[in-house]
Amino acid sequence: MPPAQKSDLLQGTLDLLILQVVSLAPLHGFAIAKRIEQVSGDTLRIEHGSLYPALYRLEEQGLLSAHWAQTGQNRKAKYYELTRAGQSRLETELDHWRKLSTGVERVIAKAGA
Amino acid sequence: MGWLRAFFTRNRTNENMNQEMRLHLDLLRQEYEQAGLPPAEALRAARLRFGSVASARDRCKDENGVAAIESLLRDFRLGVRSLAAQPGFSATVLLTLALGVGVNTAMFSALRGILYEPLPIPNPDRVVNVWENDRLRGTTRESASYPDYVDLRERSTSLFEHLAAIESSEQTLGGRGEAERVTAAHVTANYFAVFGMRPQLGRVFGPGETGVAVLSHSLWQRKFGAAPSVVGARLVLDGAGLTITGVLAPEASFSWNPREVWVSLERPQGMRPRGRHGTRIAGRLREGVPVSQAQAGVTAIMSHLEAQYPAENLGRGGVVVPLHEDLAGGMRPALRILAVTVAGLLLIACANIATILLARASARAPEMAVRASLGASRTRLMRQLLTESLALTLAGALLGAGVAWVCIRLLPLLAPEGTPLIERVRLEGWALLAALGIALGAWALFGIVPALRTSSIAANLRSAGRNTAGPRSHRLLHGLVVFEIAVAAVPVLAAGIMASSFWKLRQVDIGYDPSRIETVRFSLPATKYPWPKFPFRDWPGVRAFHERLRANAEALPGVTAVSIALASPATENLDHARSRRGPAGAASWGAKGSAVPRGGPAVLERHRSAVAPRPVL
Repeated sequence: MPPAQKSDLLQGTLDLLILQVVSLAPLHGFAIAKRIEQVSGDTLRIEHGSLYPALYRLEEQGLLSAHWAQTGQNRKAKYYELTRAGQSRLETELDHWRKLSTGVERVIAKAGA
Repeated sequence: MGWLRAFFTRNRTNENMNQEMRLHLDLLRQEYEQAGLPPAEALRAARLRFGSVASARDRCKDENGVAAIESLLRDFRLGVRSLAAQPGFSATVLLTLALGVGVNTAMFSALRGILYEPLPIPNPDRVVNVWENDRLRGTTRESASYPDYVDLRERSTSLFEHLAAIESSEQTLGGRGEAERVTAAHVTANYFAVFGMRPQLGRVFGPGETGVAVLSHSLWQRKFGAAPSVVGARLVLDGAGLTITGVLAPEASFSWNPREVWVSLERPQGMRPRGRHGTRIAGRLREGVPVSQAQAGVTAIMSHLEAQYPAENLGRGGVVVPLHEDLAGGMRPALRILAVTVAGLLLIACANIATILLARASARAPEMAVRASLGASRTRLMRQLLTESLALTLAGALLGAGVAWVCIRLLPLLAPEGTPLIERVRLEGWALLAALGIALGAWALFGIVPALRTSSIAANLRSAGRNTAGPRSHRLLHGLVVFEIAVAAVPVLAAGIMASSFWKLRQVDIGYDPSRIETVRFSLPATKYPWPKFPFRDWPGVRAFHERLRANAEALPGVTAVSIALASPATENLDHARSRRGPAGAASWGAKGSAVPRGGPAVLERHRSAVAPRPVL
C-alpha cells in the first residue's frame, strides 16, 4: 500500500479526472491512464494500479458502467463509460473543483503580492 | 443486495479483474518496447509503472464487496474445520442445543394446539356445554334430564341463541350390506346451529321433523358410496326406519365429537321422567353474553326447578363451561408444568454450552496467540470465533427443528389415550422461531464473552503457551454452574412431585385386583328391549337377557365369576351408578378376596357392561 497521505490527497481528484476523461468516449483502464497523462502534459503521473480501485468504486456507485469489447489490436478489454448519474456527479465535482481552485488561486496570489 | 451479488459473481469478478490488469501491463510493456527498451527492461518498467498488482486487486475487492464475502467464507470454512477437528466438543454442543430447541418447539406447539388454538367452529368462544351438578353428592359434571333441558331452553332465551340437547349412543346401522355399529346422536334441530355445522348435500333437519337423520361425510363415503341420491333415502338405525335429509360437510366432523349419524330428537315434554339423566346440553351464547352471566342465569333457573320439583331435583344445579375449556381444561396444569420444565431445560442447555465454550476458549488461547502474532487483528480473531459459534448455533437449531418434528410425530403415540385435541398439534413456525431466537440470544451472550476474552488474551500475546484462564473466567464459570444448578432444581422438584403423586395414585386401594378382571361393554337395541318405566324395577326382557348372558359367560373355561353392571368401579361413571341406585345384582367384584365397593354394581340404565373376572395365566 502506498502511504495513506498521498492516496488520500489523490482520491477526490483522481475520481474527477477519471469521470472527465471518460465523459468524452468509453475507454479501457490503460487508455484512461494514458489520456490523463497526455492531456495534463505529463504533469500528472499516476500509479496505474491505483486507477483500478477508483474505477471499481465508481462502478459500484453507479457513476460508471462497464462492458467488454475488442480493442483496436483485437484484444478483449473492459470499457468504462459515464452513466447519467456519473454525468451529473461530474458536473457538481467540476463546479466544486473550480470553486476550490479559484479559492486556492486567490490565496496564493495574495500571499505572493 | 450488493453482497449477495458479490457472493454469487465473485469468481467471475476475480477472473475479469485479472484479465483487465494483465491487458494493462501488456499495453504498458508494449509502449516501453516501442520506446526502444529491451523486452526484459520493458517488463520491469511496466511493473514499476503499474505498482503492486496484488495490492490493486485487494483494494478493488474492498470496493465491490467481494473481500467481505471472501473473508466470511474463509471464517466459515475455518470454523467448520476446527469444529470437525474436535468432534466430541461439537457433537456435545450440537446435541444439547438440538434437544433444547427441539423439545421446546414441540412443547410449545402442543401447548398451542391443545390449549390456545381456537376450535374450528364459528365464534368458538360462544359455544358452551351446560352440565348439571349435584351438591348433595358432590358431583360436578353430570348430564341433565330431558325435562330439565326443555325448561332451561325455554327460560334462558335471553342468554342463549341456541340451546341443544344431545343423547348419544352406539347404534346398529342395518339395511345396507353388513350391519355396523356406529356412534349416533339424537339431537335437537338447533344442534347444527350451535356448532356451525353445514351440510354439503341436502339439508340438516329442522324443528318439528321426526324420523329424519343427517349423515357424516365419512359415513356417507364409506357406507353410501358418496352417492348424491342418498338424500331422501331410507336408513335403518337400531331397527327404526329414518329418512336421510342431508350429508354434513367434511370440515363439520370434529375429533372431539366423532359421530356419524345425527337423528332428530323430538319428544313431547313429560315423555321422559325428570329423574332420568342422560341428556347432554350444548349452547351458543348470544352475542355479548359472557359465560359468567350465563352461569348466573342457569343457576337461577336450576334453583327454580329445584323448588318446583323437589322429589327429583333436590340439590341439583347447573354449570356452564366453555367448550374448549371442557375439552382441554383438564390438561392445562400438566401442560404448563411441562412447558416450564422444558423451558428450564433449554436454559440449562444454553448454560452448558456457555460453560463448554468458555473452557474451550481458554484452551485455545495459545492458538489465538499464534494467529495474532502472524498478523491477525483482534477484530479478525473475534470475527472468526463468533462465526464459529454461530455456525454451531445454527446447525444445532436446524437439528432442533428435526427433533421437534420427530417429537410431534411421536406425540399422538406417546400421549395418554384420549388426550383431547392432540391431533391438532403440528410444528408451529413461531415456536421454532422463538426457540431459535433463544438459541441466538444464548449465542450472543455465551459466544461473545469467550470470544472477547480469547481475542484479548491472544492480542496481548502474554499467555501463549501458559494456558491459564485467569480469575475472571473462573468467576464466570462459577456463576454459570450456580445458575445451572438453580435452573435444574425446578424440573427435578417437579419430576419428584409428579413421581410421588403417581406413586400415591398407584397405591390407592380400589377395592379389587384389576389384573384379573376383563370387562366387556355392550348395549341392546332399544327397539327390541324397550326402555322401562321409572323407577326401572320392571325390566323383564333385559333382565332375562342378562341372566342368559351371565350363565353363558360363567360356563366359559377360566371364568370364576361374572357381574353385570352399569359401570365398573373406579371409572368415571361409578360415581353416578353408586349414588343413584342401591346395591343390586351379583356383587362379584370381590371374587378375588378384596372388599366389595360400597353400593357395588347397579341396575342397568343406559350403559350396560359385563364384567368377567378370570384367573391370570
